[in-house]
Amino acid sequence: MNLDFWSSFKDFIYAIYPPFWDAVVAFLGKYAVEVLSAYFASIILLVVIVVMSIRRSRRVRAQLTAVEARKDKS
Amino acid sequence: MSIWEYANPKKFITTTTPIVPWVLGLSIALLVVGLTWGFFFTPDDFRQGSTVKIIYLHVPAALMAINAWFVMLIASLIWLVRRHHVSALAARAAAPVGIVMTLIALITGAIWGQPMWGTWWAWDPRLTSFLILFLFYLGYMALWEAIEDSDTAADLTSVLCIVGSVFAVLSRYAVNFWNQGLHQGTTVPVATGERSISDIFFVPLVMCMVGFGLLFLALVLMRTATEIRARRIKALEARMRG
Amino acid sequence: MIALLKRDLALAVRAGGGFGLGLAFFLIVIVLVPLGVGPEAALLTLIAPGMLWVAALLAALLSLDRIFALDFEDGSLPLLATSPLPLEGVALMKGVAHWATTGLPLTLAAPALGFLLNLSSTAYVWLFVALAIGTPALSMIGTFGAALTVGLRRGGLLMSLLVLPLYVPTLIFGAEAVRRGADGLSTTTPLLMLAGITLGSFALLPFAASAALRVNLR
Repeated sequence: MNLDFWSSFKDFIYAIYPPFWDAVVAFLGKYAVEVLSAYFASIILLVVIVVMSIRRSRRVRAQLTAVEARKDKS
Repeated sequence: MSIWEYANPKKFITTTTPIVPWVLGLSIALLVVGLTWGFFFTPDDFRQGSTVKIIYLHVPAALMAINAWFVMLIASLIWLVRRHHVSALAARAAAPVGIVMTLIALITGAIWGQPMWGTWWAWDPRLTSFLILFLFYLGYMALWEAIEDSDTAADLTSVLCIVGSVFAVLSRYAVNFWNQGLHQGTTVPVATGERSISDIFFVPLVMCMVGFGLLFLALVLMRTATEIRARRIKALEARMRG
Repeated sequence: MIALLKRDLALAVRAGGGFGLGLAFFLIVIVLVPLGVGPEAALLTLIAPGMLWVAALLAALLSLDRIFALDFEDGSLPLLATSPLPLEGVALMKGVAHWATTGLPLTLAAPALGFLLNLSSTAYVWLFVALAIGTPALSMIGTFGAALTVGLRRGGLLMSLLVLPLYVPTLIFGAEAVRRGADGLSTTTPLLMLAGITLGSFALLPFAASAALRVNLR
């Protein structure tokens, strides 16, 4: 059951762009999809947490300056 | 010049804000070099094929997942004993980073295991322990979110972190007992200095481990500063209202 | 402290006290299991130890938020906190009361329900023993969880998220003890670990629970 879904997923990926994929598979061998999906997922997660942290930091910093400006005014 | 000076929120922010970009930059550089080296320039394992390349993500992430909880534990203890808000907020800041590390460890672990063990998810002791750790992180973060008053939240989450740590260790032993496991032994017993994987793999692996560690540091410093500012906003708004 | 215990027991047994609810829930979950996994006898025998324990966990969880919530709402919790009784003692007694009203009935009822799941005949004794040793731990850990969330309205779901991971070691050793009993193997190790967890919980968690209560009562 697991294998069927995974195999069809692999076939789908292979079909997307054959020449590029042939090169990748030549390099990574039969576990190309596994290795790439592991890297892909991890890097995405890292990027997400970094970007979210930076954005929140900027947003809160702006909020703080706004609130402090209001405080100094009043 | 004691480390406790940095417990002063303002000093913490002024000191860490300039260094965060450097730490972040260095960590990303190390990760790029380490991962590229590991991905392109190391050979395949004769048993595991190219999936051994997942080690450069899985091992560092797993290490940081544990370290993050440990940092939260120390920070919680410091809060309960010395009442430095920076400490409590650092624990809060570290949790999301820790949970992401745990998630990476779980995902890479499951994917790595698929060709090796033939199942999508194997209830191997190490993976199972990380799944339980994931739940502990979730609970910790949920408790912070649920409580209005910041000091109360800090106190309760600190107690939870401490009790949770005891049960996390207990669970580790219980899970080992429960399933003798498919996971190979530690490949990087860093403390003992011996290595059961060869040097070709070791250097890029260490680079990635340091890279992940610095990334964790940069993110926690950044997020703690954000928490400090957020707390200040809350205080100012309360003062202006009342 | 005994007076506190008696009071809680009396409250629980009275109508609306939720005494029989835990037991009824336990029964319902056990009935649902075969309905969910199919009636095949061999399969049920395999999963019976684990499912009985999981059902016990969930049933224990049900009555947890009542431990402190009622006292918190009607204002008697602050009174208890300022009484000459140490708050750790209060937490301990609450844990014991919860076990007496939930864990103990479960332990007694479980062998009777084991046959619904086609539990191995050799396992019944061990089921009783394991639950008897382990359910107090569930109550004490649950009391800690309840203390953490007592200040929250609708804290029940959050409390489950906090408490269930803490239940993992108890579940693992408890279920393993019953399984080994079913196979005729030695059950000493898991039972000893279970006893350790229970004793450790009663020794240490009252302090953690009372710390949480004090924070919530500020």
